[in-house]
Amino acid sequence: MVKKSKNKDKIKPTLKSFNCRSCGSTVNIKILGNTINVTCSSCKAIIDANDPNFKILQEGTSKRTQEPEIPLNSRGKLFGVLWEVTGFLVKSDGPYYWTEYLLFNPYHGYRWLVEVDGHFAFYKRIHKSFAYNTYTKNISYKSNGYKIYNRGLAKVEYVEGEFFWRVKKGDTTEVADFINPPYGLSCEQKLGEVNWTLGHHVDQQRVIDAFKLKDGLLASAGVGALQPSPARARFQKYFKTLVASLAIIAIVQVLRMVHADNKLVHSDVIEYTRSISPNYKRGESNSYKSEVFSISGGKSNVKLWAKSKIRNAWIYLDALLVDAKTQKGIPISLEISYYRGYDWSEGSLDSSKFAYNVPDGDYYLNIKTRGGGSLRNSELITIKVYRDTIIYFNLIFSLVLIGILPLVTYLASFNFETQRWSNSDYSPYVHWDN
Amino acid sequence: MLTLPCPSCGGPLNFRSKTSLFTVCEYCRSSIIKKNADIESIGKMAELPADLSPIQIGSRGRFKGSRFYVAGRIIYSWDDGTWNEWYLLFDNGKTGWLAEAQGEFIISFPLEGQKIPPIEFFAHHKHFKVDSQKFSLSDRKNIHYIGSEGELPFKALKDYKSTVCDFLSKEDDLFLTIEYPAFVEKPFAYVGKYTSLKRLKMENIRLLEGWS
Repeated sequence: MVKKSKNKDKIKPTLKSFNCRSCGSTVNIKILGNTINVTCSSCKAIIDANDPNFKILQEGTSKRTQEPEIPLNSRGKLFGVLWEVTGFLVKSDGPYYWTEYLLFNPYHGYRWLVEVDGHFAFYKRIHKSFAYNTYTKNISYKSNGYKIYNRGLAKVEYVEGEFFWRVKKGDTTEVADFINPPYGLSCEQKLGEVNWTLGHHVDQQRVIDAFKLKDGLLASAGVGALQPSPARARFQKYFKTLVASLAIIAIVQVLRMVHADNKLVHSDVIEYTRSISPNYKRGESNSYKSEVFSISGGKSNVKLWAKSKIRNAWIYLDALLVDAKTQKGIPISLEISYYRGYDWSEGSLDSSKFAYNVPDGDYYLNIKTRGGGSLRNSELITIKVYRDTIIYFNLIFSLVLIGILPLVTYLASFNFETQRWSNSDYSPYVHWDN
Repeated sequence: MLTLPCPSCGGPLNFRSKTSLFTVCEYCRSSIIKKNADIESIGKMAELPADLSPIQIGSRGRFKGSRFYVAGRIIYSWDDGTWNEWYLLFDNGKTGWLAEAQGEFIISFPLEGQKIPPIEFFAHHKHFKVDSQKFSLSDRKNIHYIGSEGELPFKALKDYKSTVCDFLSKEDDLFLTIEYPAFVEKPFAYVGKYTSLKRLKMENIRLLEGWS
């Protein structure tokens, strides 16, 4: 931390005062040693503060193009430092205009608070040479990439206050803004002198609170160039969760695949017969009862799989997996249906159905078949019973479920970015036809 | 520290460094030249223009683990303003400069063992290599001396003028400056870094009323 002198008294900053050579009003310079350009608070003439005679550089027009929303000389604490508004500029580039507040603190130097359509950004100078020309689209700074957002000619429309550089109405500078929200890199060029500044978005409310603006600020319009996207933040959060969930699901699935028994416990071929003869299969009326098979290895799922080579027909297997000891049945019914034309098909020749948490024991199947469509009088159906098989449905269902929030927030984020870039000539969302 | 009486007013003149060859009496503002143990007054120094600088003679700080003491200051002027060069004496005997302009601070040290091209070179070239670091010319200006206070390693002359070329590199905050004095053959080069009072852990800085 910076320690200030203890043994010496506080120094009262001195002012330099003189009379404006244009209107005679008193002009004060507060930031001695730095200010070289000052405006008369009364007639707004721009004066050379470095000149012993305080010559007028540009006569003032009493008309203000825009009232500063943050008053000159007001002070506010932003990011832990007390700043004084020492200068106010209005600049334009064609139909667009924006305002810039020059902030000062003798221990911290200068900063800029730039306002565009009610969106604020706080900039400080950076000191390095960039590989840059007027075609540069991407710039890297401290291993972050910045994309070109705006390039143009900024024209000074209005000047008020104290400045450490020469500035007057009509001055133009080449400007380029590169963004990586909430950060931005800006380049100003004039007569070979290049200045780079690094900025970040500041919430309007923070500016209002800092400078205690009783009437607040005009509402912001649209999405600011550096405005952080709430949807993007949410998307990133959900995306992280998504990745973590996918990892867990993948591990669980792999473990299932490794450990799944997938054991065939029973297989048979049964027959569907159109019930012309009610006494088919020794009077069992087209129903099938399997021999008893044993299921062991712990509670697990049981899969009934069935296949029949039918065409344009359906067969319903009204099936029960019956515990041979208790005679309790677990429903495990399924339907096979298959239709086809010369260039289409619908349904499938096979089908399967699960019963869950089936305890070990001896079981048999009890199946009644029904059918419809162009069935022959008799159709053969292969059936197989497995225990402890991998269920892919759970996997797919959970993937869809955990994918919903990331997808919704991604779309919202996309929408936000489209709005952000709507004020830029370099929007990645718009493709201009030549 | 060597303390000698001011030849003009008898007040104490402190020479903290043996390398200091010049000082301004803080009581009578006489400009004093020191040659070995002899001191000589060469006239009065004008009152320095007031400024809002947070640095003062006697401020202390740290750079790369070494403590320094602010022993003197020169004020220079160019077409579009003035700036301060604070003379730093390090506890390890080294010396350096802390430039203060437009609210920015640069700490720099003499660049030694490097052949400096003549100023004409930079009429056509924009780059200059120091070791493997490539520097790009960022600013060029004519400066002149305004005044000084405290100890300095050379005699500060009223009519001193020079041309200064400032350079930046691809590395953040790295700085190089070459000064071409108007009436001296040899240019001076300094390398350093943009910094801040906080990073320099400055102590005993000026307390400005109403500011923190």
